[in-house]
Amino acid sequence: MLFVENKDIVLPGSLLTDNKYKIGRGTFKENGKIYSNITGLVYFESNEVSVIPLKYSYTPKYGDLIIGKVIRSSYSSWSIDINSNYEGFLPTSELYNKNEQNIGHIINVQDMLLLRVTNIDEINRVKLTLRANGLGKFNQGTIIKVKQPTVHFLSEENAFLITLIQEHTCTDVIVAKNGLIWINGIKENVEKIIEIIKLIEKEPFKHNLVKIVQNIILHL
Amino acid sequence: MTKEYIRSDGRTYNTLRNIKMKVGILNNADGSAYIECGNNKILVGVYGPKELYSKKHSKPDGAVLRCKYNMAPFSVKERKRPGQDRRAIEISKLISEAILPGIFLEKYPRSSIDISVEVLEAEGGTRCLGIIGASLALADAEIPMKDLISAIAVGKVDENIVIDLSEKEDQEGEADMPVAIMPRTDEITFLQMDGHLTAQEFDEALKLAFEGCRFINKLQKETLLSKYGGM
Repeated sequence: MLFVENKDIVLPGSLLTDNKYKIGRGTFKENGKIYSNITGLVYFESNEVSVIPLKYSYTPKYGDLIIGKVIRSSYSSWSIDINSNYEGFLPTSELYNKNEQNIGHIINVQDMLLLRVTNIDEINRVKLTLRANGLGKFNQGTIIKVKQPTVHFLSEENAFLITLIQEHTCTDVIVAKNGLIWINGIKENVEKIIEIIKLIEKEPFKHNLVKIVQNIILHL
Repeated sequence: MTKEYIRSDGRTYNTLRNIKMKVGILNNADGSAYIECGNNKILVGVYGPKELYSKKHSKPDGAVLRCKYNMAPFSVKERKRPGQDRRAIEISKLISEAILPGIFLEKYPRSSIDISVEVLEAEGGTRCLGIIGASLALADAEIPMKDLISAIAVGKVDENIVIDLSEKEDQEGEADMPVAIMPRTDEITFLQMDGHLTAQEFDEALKLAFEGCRFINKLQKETLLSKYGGM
């Protein structure tokens, strides 16, 4: 039996169901009944129940493309702010040029880097890498911060929107999974793109948002 | 016990003071709550979970819950010296212990969750309101929890068991017993008692406290839902 309806707002400790569902994100099982453990929207799928929080922060996953800022450097590694609860860890061995003596020539504190997640262990230490095609330091462009629902909207089901924007405005856009977006191009175009992203940010769950955004892009 | 007993401020034995709750009022906190109850005004902020830099204090198997209770110098009738004193340290510890059983700390290894409870105006029962506020602010911060925790004080005044004691009743009454529970499972997470109660009076007081906590829990749920009411 379901005790709440699909897409209802639930609170911590709300009874969701006593059917045999698989427990997804944001739920826990006690005495054969499934409860929610956060505030959010409940989703019942064919055999799984999950609660999606309304303002969650980024949780790193293996292989995610992210933008990070160097906040500290130590003897053998850099600490990177990856816009999550935890800091990222970039070992010096990830440099391209191993013969470089003064690593300050390559990466400094405050630099913005495009990175990939290579490993997350059981105590949530995030290991990053620079060694892949296209990764490295940003020398130009603007970076803006958005919330996770916006990233989900732009990268999962509607990834074509970014290609559309790039083609119509002749700019480069990179949507990183951790909620930072890098835009490079002529100043006017960059401003227009930021406006579009702000529109999405306001109501990422809005009905027919894809069509609205598509229309705006086509009339730029 | 006479059920018709009228207290000095005109309440009956099971009437609470007027309560107003709000969530999400601090912009820089991850979660926040504001509670007014009678003349009490309490502001709670939750920061985190964030990585704990001190390796000495961090735990590899879960988050560390740190709570700070502070009374503003202007919160009581006579000016209070600012800063932590013996009472503030005790209440900080008991608030964090009262809400600890409700949180899934193991989801955030090596990190810390900081709660700051700021009392702007005090008139008895601030520790219970601190627990209610901390629980609301944690839910607002979307930290995984088993249940919302509600708390209420019960006590004995003029041979009568009463709920939600004010400052005057707390000082003049015979006994004072703050209780915090998890209403879903009826588990008691925190219980303190000052003064004397017989076993029969204790049972009666606990029953009254459970009733009060359930009412508070209903208010907490309404408050959280009303934040998203516009959606």
